[in-house]
Amino acid sequence: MELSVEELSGGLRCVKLAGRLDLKGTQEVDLKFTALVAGTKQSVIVDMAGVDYIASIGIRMFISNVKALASVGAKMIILKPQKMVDDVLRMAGLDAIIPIHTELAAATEAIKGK
Amino acid sequence: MSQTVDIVLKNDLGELERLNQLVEEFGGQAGLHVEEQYALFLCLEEIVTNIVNYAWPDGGEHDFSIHIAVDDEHIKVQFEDDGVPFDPTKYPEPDMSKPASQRPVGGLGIHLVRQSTNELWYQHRDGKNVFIIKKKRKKAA
Repeated sequence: MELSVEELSGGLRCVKLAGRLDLKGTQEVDLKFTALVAGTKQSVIVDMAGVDYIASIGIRMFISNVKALASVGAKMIILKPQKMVDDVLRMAGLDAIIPIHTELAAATEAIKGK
Repeated sequence: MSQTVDIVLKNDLGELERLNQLVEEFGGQAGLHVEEQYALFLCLEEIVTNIVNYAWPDGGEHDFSIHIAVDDEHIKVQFEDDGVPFDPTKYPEPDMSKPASQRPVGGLGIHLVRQSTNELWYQHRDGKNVFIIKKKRKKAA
């Protein structure tokens, strides 16, 4: 499981994930992801284009982080999930609490907008 | 024609990796569609995690079994463990209308299994939890 950070213009941060968010993969990135997301208390875009599998453990990692962000009025946006990953995110009802976008421009707008 | 595989696992989450490899191999032989393979992985991971975490609260080393059968119509998986009786089909659905901060932590795994399959069946018999999930195959184009 890989995690990298891209600093976008306007002080916006994009965390890119790649690999499998199964039990093993989620355990590999959980601490680092949580430090970068919940830990910084700033709105963030999570680029999931490189993630080809997610199970409930990965979804729970997102939920606990978005809860921490919401408590300080910050947002998380999910960007470009692959088709089957997108299906599972929606099955879990995650799209109701974390907006999912396919384009960076729309994701950036969603972060800036109220 | 039906293709089957029997897998015995220990109550150790490290076994998930071996399970994934075996299932990937089996899925290839059985000609599973990539979406079917995903659903199968997901259900196996969620159910195996539950069994390993909750079936034997006193710990110790235990084995449990998985039987996978694939034919033209269905993918069927049977789980058998001799842990504490637990009926996953009775587990309440999480309330998806609640905001994130009020959602319970548990129940998401079995919710995903329900959503990814067409039929769940459970019986406690001969001291064992027998849990079967069934999914209709995608029709060939």
